[in-house]
Amino acid sequence: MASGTLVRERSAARVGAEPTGGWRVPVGYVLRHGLVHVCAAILVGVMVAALAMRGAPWRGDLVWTLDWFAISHIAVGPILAGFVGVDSSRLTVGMEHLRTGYARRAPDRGIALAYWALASAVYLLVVVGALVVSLPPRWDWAVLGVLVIHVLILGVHVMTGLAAGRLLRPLVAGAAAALVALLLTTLFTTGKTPMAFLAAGGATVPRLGYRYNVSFLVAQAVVLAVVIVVLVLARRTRREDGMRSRLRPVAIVALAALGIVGVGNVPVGARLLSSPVTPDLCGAVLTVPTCFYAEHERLERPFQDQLYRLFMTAEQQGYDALIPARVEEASRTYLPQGAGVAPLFVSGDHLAGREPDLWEVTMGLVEPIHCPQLSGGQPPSDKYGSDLMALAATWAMLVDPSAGEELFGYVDEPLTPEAAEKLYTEFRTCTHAF
Amino acid sequence: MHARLLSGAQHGLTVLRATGFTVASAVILLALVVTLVFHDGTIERIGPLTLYPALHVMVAVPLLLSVACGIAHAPFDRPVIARNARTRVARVLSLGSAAAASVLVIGLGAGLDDAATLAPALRNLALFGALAVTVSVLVGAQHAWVPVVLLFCAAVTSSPGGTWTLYSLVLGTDVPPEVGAATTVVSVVVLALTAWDPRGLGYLRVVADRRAPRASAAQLPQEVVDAPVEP
Repeated sequence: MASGTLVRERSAARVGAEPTGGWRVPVGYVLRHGLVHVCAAILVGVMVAALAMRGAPWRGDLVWTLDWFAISHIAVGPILAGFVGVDSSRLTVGMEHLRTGYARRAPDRGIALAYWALASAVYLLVVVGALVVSLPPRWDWAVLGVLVIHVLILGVHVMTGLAAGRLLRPLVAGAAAALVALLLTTLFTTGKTPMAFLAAGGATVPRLGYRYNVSFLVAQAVVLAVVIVVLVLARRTRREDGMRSRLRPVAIVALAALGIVGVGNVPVGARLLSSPVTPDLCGAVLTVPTCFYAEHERLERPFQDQLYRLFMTAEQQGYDALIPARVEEASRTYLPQGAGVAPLFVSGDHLAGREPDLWEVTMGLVEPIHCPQLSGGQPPSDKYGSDLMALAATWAMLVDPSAGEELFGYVDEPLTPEAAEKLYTEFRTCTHAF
Repeated sequence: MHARLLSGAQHGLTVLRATGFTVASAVILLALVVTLVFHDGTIERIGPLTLYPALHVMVAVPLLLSVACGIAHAPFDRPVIARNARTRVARVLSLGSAAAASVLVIGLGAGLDDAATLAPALRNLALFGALAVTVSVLVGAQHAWVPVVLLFCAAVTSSPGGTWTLYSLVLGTDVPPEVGAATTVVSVVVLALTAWDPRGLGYLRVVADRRAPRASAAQLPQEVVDAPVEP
């Protein structure tokens, strides 16, 4: 409780500093007596924990780094709003008359500004740290726009706290602000238009092959700015205010709602646009070229080890026909196709640090996922399932005789080289009776 | 007799009003409204995260109730009450009433919809309530919501499975006896901490007295410096 010091500070402000000291007086005040440093420490903890969780699979992927970071918003929003709510309410007890005056003189706006500045600094520091640690090989300048969006989202949470601090007592302002921030985050994060103005990602699947839509970001920034301005203007109407003054907030909210709905529904397209890129980090396993994305450099070695075991045993035991001419990593917007090109599928688990197992790599090599028959509405026949299983298990059993039963549940004899070649060719050319 | 009862009730309310009970009852009222309207609902999404399996509303309502318990422990916010036995009793009464009302709300929700939500809801009230009251005792009632938000967000981002994992402790729908026993022990320990009240926050005279040596005596009016310190 800073009440004892609050009284002294107020008298000092009255006697010493000029009342027109602008932002400096309340900002300095909240830095000394508020809990802004505790809030900043919690925010650092939350942001770092959000980045580190689930093995940090975003490393190297520029768009995914920022989108993954948005998961932290479910905690950052309520914490920030709540702390601003508590401090803007309890540190301005006895100064309520100043809230109605010019923005420059309103002490709680200074408090909110101090919180916003510090939270933004903490956020930028953590994000830049994450980017420096992972060093994404591809750069996109639209990322700067996303940083601005994130700072504006922090601003919405800060101003939610400010509005709660003005309308409620210190005891409940924090809890109410946190609850409202959590509700806003839940209501306005999903959607296909900029009406989802708190949308900042949060995906748990790789973002490789996507880029940000700048028009969406601009519309979102406009909506965010309108929301911030409305929240800054929120204040309690006094009984002695005239009718005109009492109608003003209604007019402001109505205008703002019109603006938000108008800009929010401008047809600007999705937040992320498909932008297929081909894998560019190429090496070779037994003269078979293997290409990975530079973002996933850390996965090249474990995948190549499995490929080496598969290709080596196939060559030694007469199953040469199974060895593809080229292996390429697939992404959500790029599926390697063409005669002799086999795709490799990298999942979030692999990016988090789990080594690929024999089952995944073998299935990726033999499964005819490019065939149009499989992407139609009809489910494939049982025969296709058993054929796929037999082919994949046969190849895996060349490497490890127990793999057929352990990984695939396949108990029959392995296929002969001729049968395997026939089946593999049917899969590659999509001539199998799916 | 009626008059005596009435005056007794009024006296009790006055005692409760000297704590954070008024504000806490507003939060409990909100929880009651949520219980009455959404008692059979589920929460499928928190921000960008999809919850699978979906969270039953009655398992989340204890979050509100535990913040209310933390707020109920707040002392009177004017510097006129000194620390004495009566204020201590007032705060115990306030916290006790808030906790009892919380249990009633949870019981109502379980009775209205699904009795299976009773155990996880009570477990969450014990767990989150213990955290909120601890922060209320040691830091201040205005920040009682902080650990509730942090623990809840940590739980929704954690992975399901296990008995003692964060996910099962907060979002799990079945409560094994050992977890029930552990949360009971935790809440009893916190009640003991509350009764002890080591920081004695909020009795502003006591706080001001403790801080007086740090302030420069020259800045204060003479009568403040010379004022006798009450024991």
